[in-house]
Amino acid sequence: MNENPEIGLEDFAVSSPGAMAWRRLKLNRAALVGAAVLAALYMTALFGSFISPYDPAARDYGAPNHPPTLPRFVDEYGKFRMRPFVYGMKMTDPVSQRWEYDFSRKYPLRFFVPSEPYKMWWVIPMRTRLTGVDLPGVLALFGRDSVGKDVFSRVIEGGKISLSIGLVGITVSLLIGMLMGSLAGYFGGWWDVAIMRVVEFLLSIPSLYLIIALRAYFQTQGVFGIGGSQVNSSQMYLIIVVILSLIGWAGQARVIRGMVLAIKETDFVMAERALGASTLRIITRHILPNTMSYVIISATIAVPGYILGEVALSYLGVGIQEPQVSWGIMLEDAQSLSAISNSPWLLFAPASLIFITVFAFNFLGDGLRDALDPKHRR
Amino acid sequence: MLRLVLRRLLESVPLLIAISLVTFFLLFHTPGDFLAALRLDPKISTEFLNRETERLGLNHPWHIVWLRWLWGVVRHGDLGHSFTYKIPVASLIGARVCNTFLLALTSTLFAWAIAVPLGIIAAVRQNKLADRIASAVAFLGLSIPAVLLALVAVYFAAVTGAFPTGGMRSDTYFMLPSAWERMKDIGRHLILPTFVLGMGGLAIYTRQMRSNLLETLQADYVRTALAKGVSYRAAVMRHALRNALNPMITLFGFAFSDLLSGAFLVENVMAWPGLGRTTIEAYMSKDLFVVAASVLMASVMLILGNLLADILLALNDPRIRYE
Repeated sequence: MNENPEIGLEDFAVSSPGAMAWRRLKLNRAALVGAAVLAALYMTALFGSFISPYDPAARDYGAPNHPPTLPRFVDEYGKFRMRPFVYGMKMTDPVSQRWEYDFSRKYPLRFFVPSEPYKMWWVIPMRTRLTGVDLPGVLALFGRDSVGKDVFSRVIEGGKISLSIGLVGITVSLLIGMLMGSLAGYFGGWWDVAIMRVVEFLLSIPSLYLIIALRAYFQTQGVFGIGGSQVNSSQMYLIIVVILSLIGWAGQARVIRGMVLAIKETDFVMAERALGASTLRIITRHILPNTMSYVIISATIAVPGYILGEVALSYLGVGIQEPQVSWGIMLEDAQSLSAISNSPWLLFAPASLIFITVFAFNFLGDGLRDALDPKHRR
Repeated sequence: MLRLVLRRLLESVPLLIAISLVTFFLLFHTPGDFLAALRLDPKISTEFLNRETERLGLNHPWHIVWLRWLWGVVRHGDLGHSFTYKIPVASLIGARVCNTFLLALTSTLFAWAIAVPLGIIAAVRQNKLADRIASAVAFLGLSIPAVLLALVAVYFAAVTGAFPTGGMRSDTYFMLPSAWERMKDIGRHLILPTFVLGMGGLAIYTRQMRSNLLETLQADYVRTALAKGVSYRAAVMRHALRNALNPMITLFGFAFSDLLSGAFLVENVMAWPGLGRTTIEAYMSKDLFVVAASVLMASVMLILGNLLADILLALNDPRIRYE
């Protein structure tokens, strides 16, 4: 039967759609760069407490508005040094808080330096940080703010909130969107009418106006019994995630409903129904998996929306509250004209991080769309 | 066409009522009210506070306040009084709505005027240098959030002094000699906010325009046109472009929502006296009717924007009939 006995069926490469998508994604350099940048950002946030050289909340009244100083390898005589160092700086004008280099003082960069005790991931007690310089030197990679808090450490600390809000927000809103979309699409009738009216309602209020109103409501009423009249800053985090998700699911639900409407008429769903499969099984095993490529793409593209939502709210003063730090809060600190013109690093440190994150997500999302959706041509 | 407009307007009425209901509900379940600050002051008597509560109509449950307000809106077109400014809400936010509308209009024009030619160039010269540059610009514009761009614009204005750092008018506006000078003054203040708000739309429109045109250029009628001797230029501009514009107009309707939310932020960063800025101020001081009217107005603008997109779509494409 087999004319060429050496070649068996197992010798043919059988690629699953997932493997094919992965191969296409690997060819897309921009998407890979995006993914790598995101991995680095999230890892930095995860190990943030260890990586940041200072306690992000610690004030240093000796170094207000200290400009950024990057570690150098070449000293003032042009001599190369193996161990990088930072120059000391002295304040020349206490009124305008101008700083100048003091070339007589050098502080070598040290690794695994002892520090004041802190907790890693809220549990592990630690007394070591990754880098630091000897006192009274200042390792201000991104500068200091007006009360001498280290901006680099604050950017890392803020990243924990800003980066995680994106992931948590998209997860919650996708879950709601998938549930509502498949209910409306699969069952139709009253389910469809009711859910789609809510979706239309949510989509016809300009989102920021609705977010502002919801934010005020949850502050007093709390979410799922958490919060209430006394909302502390970490509960505010939860409230913001819930608000962003409560608004974000509408768009997802509308698209998923459309897809479900098409998929439920296909032959394989008909066959499954004829075999007597339960509705739950049909939806979870056959219909939702077929919406997966859309879900993955739209999740990647939507994450920046949540990050920016937090930034917008915190910037307007109704988001994350001090003493917690987020990139939005840092922007709010930087909004005054004097801050912008005298210590622009307060603006540019969080701004560039936000920009890089959004850029990386867009790159990755674009690549995923090309990889997962063969019909989509650019 | 007229029937479409009427039907859409009628359909939006229950939606607007629902929006105002939700706004009132949410605002009444928030901590404190407009008099909260006065209550803390021991020098202010309880009788006075009670009288004030009654005068402002806040002594009723929220749904009564809402119904009364709604009745006023329907019956007399009265949006209520601002607690803070003690003037009718309509005259307070009327000018603000116009300012937001002006900003939205200029930034939309800015975005379209650049995006459509840029998209055409990118599509016609697919994968050439011009296309790559256009794509890079679009990608950059898409990734810079409006808040950031606004802050950087303010930084730019503060450092160079080339543009005003915020607001809509100079301090000397009312002393300017002629209407022309005043218009120029507002125009100078408009440049940066327009640029900031237009950037986001610019990126989306360029990418969309490019892929639409690429798709229509593959169509048989373009090949036919080329085959019967129409110049490439005419085939693109007269035959393909018009069909490629259709999805853009639909996109305009969707983008209007983003435009309003973007304007909300840009107004707050750049001190543009528009609806978004008024809303957040009124929200902070719990100026109930101002917030309710602002949310309502923003929703009305959104609905009108979508309606406008539908009308434009029908005008551009005779095949589309809404019946």
